[in-house]
Formats: sequence, C-alpha cells, structure tokens
Amino acid sequence: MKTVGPYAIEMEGISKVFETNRTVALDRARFRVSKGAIHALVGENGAGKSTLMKILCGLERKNAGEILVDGIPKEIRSVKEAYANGIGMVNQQFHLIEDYTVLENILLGVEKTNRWGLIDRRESAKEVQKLIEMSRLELPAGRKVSELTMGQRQLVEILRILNRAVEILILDEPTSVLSPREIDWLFSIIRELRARGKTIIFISHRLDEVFELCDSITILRNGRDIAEGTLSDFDKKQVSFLMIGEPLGALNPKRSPKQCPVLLRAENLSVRDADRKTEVVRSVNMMLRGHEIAALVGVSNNGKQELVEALSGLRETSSGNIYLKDKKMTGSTPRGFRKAGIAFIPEDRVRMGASVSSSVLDNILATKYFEAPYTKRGWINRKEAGKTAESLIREYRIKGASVHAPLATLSGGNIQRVILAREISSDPSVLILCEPTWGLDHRSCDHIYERLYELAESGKAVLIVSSYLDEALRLANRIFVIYKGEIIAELENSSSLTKIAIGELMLGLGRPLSQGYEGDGSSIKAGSFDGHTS
Amino acid sequence: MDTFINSIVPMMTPVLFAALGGLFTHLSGLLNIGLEGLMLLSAFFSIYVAHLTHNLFFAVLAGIGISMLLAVFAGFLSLNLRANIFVVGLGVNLFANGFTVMLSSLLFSTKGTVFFQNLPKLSYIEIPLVHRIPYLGPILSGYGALDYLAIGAAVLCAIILYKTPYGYHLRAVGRDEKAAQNAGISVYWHRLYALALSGLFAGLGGCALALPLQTFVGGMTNGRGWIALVAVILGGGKPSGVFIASLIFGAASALSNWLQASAPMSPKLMMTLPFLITLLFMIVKKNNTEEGV
Repeated sequence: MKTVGPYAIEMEGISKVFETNRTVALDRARFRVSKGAIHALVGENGAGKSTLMKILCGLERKNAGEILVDGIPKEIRSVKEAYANGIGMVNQQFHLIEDYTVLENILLGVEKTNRWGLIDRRESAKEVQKLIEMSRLELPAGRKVSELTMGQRQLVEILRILNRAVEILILDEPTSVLSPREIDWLFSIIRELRARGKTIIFISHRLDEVFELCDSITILRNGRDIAEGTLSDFDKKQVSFLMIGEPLGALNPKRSPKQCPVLLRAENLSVRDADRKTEVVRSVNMMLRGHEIAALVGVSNNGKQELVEALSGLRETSSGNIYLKDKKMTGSTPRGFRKAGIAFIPEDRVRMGASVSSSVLDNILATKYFEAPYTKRGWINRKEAGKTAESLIREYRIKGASVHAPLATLSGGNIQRVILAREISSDPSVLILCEPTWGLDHRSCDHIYERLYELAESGKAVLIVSSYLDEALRLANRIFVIYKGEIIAELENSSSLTKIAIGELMLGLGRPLSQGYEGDGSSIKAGSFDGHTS
Repeated sequence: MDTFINSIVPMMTPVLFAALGGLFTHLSGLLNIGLEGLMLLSAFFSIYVAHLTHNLFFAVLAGIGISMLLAVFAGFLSLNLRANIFVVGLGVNLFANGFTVMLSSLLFSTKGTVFFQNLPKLSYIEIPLVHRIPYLGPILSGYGALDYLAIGAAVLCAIILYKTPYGYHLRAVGRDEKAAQNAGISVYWHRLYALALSGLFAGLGGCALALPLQTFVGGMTNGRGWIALVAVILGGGKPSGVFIASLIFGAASALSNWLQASAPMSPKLMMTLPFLITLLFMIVKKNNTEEGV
C-alpha cells in the first residue's frame, strides 16, 4: 500500500508541540501526495490533520521535519510563502472579512491595480464575475459577507483560493456546511481541477465522500501516520478501524414516539428579516414534546436559521407566540429564554457559540456565572466553578484541556463538546442545536448522539437543525421541513421515509403533508437540488 | 467675526494631522493613544531645529523624525515585546511631557515659555483667483502651507485607505487578524507601518502647532492629541468623518478664543468650550454610529 511518485508534496518526520498546553499534535508524521491526485487525509478529531495542513500552508511552524514541494526542500514560514509555492488552503473555520463584499474578499491580497496604484474596480468586477461564472455558481459579488449563509461563505473561501492559481489545494472539511447540491458542485469542480493537473488534499470525516471522490489516502492517528495508499486498496471498515483503532459501537435504536407533554409550542409565529421588510418565517405552528428529538431541515435561505433563533429568543418575532409549557415566552430576553429552560447552540460556534480566546472554564461559566452556587452575594466563586468545569471535562471526555487553557487550543470536536457540556449541564427542558456534528469525526458524532438520546430519554425535548439528512433520519423521531419560511411538512420518522422524499419537500416539489408521507420520490434524485438558492 | 472664521482652519490643522495618524492605527487594530506625546515632542524639536538652522524644512523634518522614531519604538515594544499598546501609549505621553520640559530647562533654562523672535516665519499663501471671490475668498484662501497640507493629506488618506490595495489590507488586518493573515497579508508589518504613519502625522501636527507661534510651551498640546483620538472614533474610521470632527473642534476652539476676548464671561469657562462641544457631539453621534465605532 503505497502512494506513487512523483510527489507534489512530501512531508517527512513532521513534529509539532503546542507550547500553551504542552500537547504533542504531531509526532514524526509522514505525508506524501502524488502529483495530480485527489488525496484524502483522514483521522479522528485531534489526530493532527488540521495542524499538519496548517504547517504546510504556513499558518503554523513545525518543530521538526522537512517539507519538499515537487521534490525540492522548502521552508514555508508564512501563508505568503505557501502561495508562492503554489499551496493554498481553505480552512475549516472561515477566514473572511465580514464587512467586505464577496468581491473584495476574493481579491484580498491579489488586488488588480491601474497605473496609479489604485484598485481597478471595473477590471476586478470583471475578473470575479468570470470566476463565478466559470465555476457555474450564483453568488452576489457585491454583497457583504456578513449577509451570506454559511454555505455561501464556504463557496467564497473556495473561490478565493481558486483565484490564486494554486497548484496544490487543501480543503479542510469543506462539505460540512454545504447543501447536497453545493457538495455536488464542489466535487465536480475538484474533479475538473484534477483534470487540469492540480493536486487536491481533501480532509473529511465523511468516509462516503472520501470514497466517492478520492484517489489515495493518508490516515493519521494521535499525530502519527498510520497508513497510506491508493484508496482502492482500502474499504470503509478498514479505514474507520485504522482511524479509531477499535470498531465503532452499534447505533442506538430509534425511540418510539410517545404521547408526552408538549414542552415548546410556536403559534402562528412570523419573523421578519433584518431590514423588516420581508417575512422570512411565516405563520409557523409547531410543537416539541418531551422525550423526543425533532429535526428541522430545509435548504439554506428558507428561514431555518431565523426560525430557530426566534424559538431561542435571539431574534425578534413580528407576530405569533412562543410558549414553554404554558408560559408565554414571546418578548422575553435571551437570558429569560435560557432561565425558562431553552438552551441554544448556534451553527457558528466560534463566533456565536463560544469565546475561543477565553478559557474552558470561562466558557462553561458564561451561561451560569450569575446563579448560585457560582455567585454568592455578587462575587463569583471560581473554586466552585472550577470543580464543575473539571467534572464536565471528565464526563464529556474533553481531550487536551486544562480548565484554564484558552478554548482556541482545543480541536473542533472538543470545542463542540465544551459547548454541549455547558448547555446540557444547565439542565434545559428544551435544547435547540444547530448542525450538531459540524466537522466532527465518527467517535465524536456518536458521543454527541448518545448525549442527545440521553437528554431525550430524561424527558427533555431536543430540536436539531441539520443540513445532513442522514443525520436527521438517524436521530430524529419527527422531521419538520421548512420551505420559503413555512413548515410545509411534519414527518414521522419511519423506515419508509427516505432522503429523496425529504429532499423533494425541501425544494417545494412534494405535496405539503402533515403525516405519513409516502411519495415514491422517483421524480428527483438526491443530490440534484436544482431549486437551491445561492 | 472675520478673525473667528479665519482662525478655524489653523485651529483645526494640528488636530486633523494627529487624527489622520491615529486613524491608521485605529484601522490596523492597534490604536496609538500616544498622539499627544508625539505631537509635543515634535513641537519641541521643530522649534529647536528652526532656532538652530533657521530653516523651516529642516525644522519640520526634525519634528517628523523624532515623532516617527518614538512611534516605531512604541511599535517595537508592543509588537515584538508584546507590551500592551495602551500602556505603551500612556508611556509615550508621560515621557514626552517630562522630556520636553527637561530639555527646555537644560537648553533654554526655563520650564515655561520658550519664545524665539528671529525664527523664519511660515508664509501665508493666497490661492490665485480664489482669494478674490467675494465673501468666500477670505475663507478659502490665505492659510499657511501646513494648513493646506493637512487638508490635502486628508484627501490623500481617503484615497489610500479606500482605493488602494494597501488600504484594503490595512483595514482587513484591523477587522480580522486571522483572515488577513490567511490571505497572505502580514499583520506585523501593517501594524508597524500604521504606527510609523501615526508618528509622521502626529509629527506634522506638532509642527503645525508650534511653528506658527514661534514658541514652545511645556504641555502646549493641551489635550489636542486626545481630541484627535475622539475625532478618530467620531469619524467612524473614515478620513471624511475625521475631517469633519476635526473641523468641529477647530471651530469650537476658534469660538472659545473669540469669546474669551469679546464676551463678558469668565475666560476660564470659555476655555472649556472646545471640550464641552466635543463631548456633546460624542453623545449625539453615539446613537447613530454604534456600528461604525
């Protein structure tokens, strides 16, 4: 099992120790990619994938080892030097300037200037438009990034790197926030790039995607390369075994729906968008019962985000009411919603869900510092808080964390665990969770699924928002489909419910039904979501 | 009344210069609060060099030079040695205050006013044709070279910040350090350049303060460096906004001077006018630029 030369990239004996928390991220790892291949880099969260790639693209410095680009030893000390060597990376966490436009972000660092040294606006607009059209995308070039959906932002990130004429393109978990149609688009672009002789490094936890797209693979575990080779030499079971070192546990069986008390109820709920002109959520009626996990699915820009933000008190509603048990919540503050027992974990954890520069302790404390026993007579009791944090770190098996380490030093999966630990430990009656396994590996996924099952088991209601239909089908008892701001279907999850049927409804193609959907789904294939708005 | 209107621009100039310098550091994400000290230092050295060489060009050069030197040193402390920029900025202010007084007593044996009678004078420039326009002419024309330079610099800064790649990169660094770094932009160098520019502009501000008066007085900046910071914030990160804020302060100062001479009120009370007006504007502006700041 070997990859074949000539190699575009050879990384030999790469080691990296993080000073801040004294963790060994990489231990003499080897990583080689054949020229013109789509190469998968897989491993659990914290296995060192992102660190290895950050070293390759100049965002991190290695402590030891050697990097060869096209057989020539190179020192890559900055992102600029990486670009100079034809290496570009699309990060898992977006690196876009929020209040610059799509155009300005794509051209940042490679602006076109006229002979006066000023930015040539017409030339820039032409170039970006050409790039967007060539990629067969619809993206508003003049729109500010802050107004885009997560999926669109990911596309901007990818276009920005494509614009830089890189030879080696690194994609870190690029599909986690994309819709099925956008994923199809991305894969066709990646294949096109390979046809043009580019080398692509694809980091993903979704083995389906890896096996669909990639030619070869490197598997990392605990900072070391465990195996490499052409993908046809492996099968999925083997890869997941190599990643984890032990077989995955069996899935929890689906709960049967019970007649339980309604915990959260929305009545004729409408929400207007930021400029208060158009209704993005229209007269939504929905109920969440205890003991159940419900999922809300929909194509982006159809009011999914706005609806859950309204349900968790973060967004003003324009009409209608929200009730928790029988208490009217409409008009209460976000803290009021929390106090009443509605917990919310947003899609963008790094910006909205946590403060990554603050310590693990402070993040856990953020939603409860003002309550007993953490506050006594106006003073925060850090000893008590520390104890809680320590026990949560143990309970949620948060790796590589001391309570005082900044959250940013943790891997994505562990950050998610910290946030989940915080929200569940405050004992909410309703948990609303966006993209629960965004960018997580199998083991972390299972851990989080288990927690959600436990929570439902104990009588709470869980609402997940997922752009990953497999996940919704695996987790939820009921699935709400939102389309153009309206809940057009409420489906009981049974073996007869298919991804295709849900996909049809998400596009507004199916008949709006409230129960027992039985469409055969033959009119549309999964993954060709043509009605998607970009 | 004419003297009031004509003194608005000269009152504005030092503040505008310093505010433009502050603007660059504000946008880079590393606001330099040492503008006051840099101005003071430049004021002293420009006067001293003017006295030694009788050459205004050298005087301005000296003012700018010393101010940039200290600004870059502050940058070194903050960027290389990781000192807190606010502490460094305060240090610059305190250092400049003490240092200029010390030099003044060493070189001229006075801690108070140092006045030179035979210094070269900044000439006043009448713009051809424009100064003949009735009513408007005297308002638009007849200012010192540094006054015109300040207004020109504001225009130039607007172009640099919003029309050139450098401007886009600088603002990107201030908005999102990681994103800028990821686009191949050096956060370190942009912040250091911005600090050096704050030295350049604060230096010009110091020259514009001292040279027309042919005088150095200990602490003569009298809060202008702080007012410049207010102008940066009030201006919402835009040179046009900074210009308007500086102009308001200039008008308030001119009004205060005029009232001190002509109104039957306590001159001490009148001296607080510019600061009072700035405060009022800050309160009014706060409501509609929450986001810009």
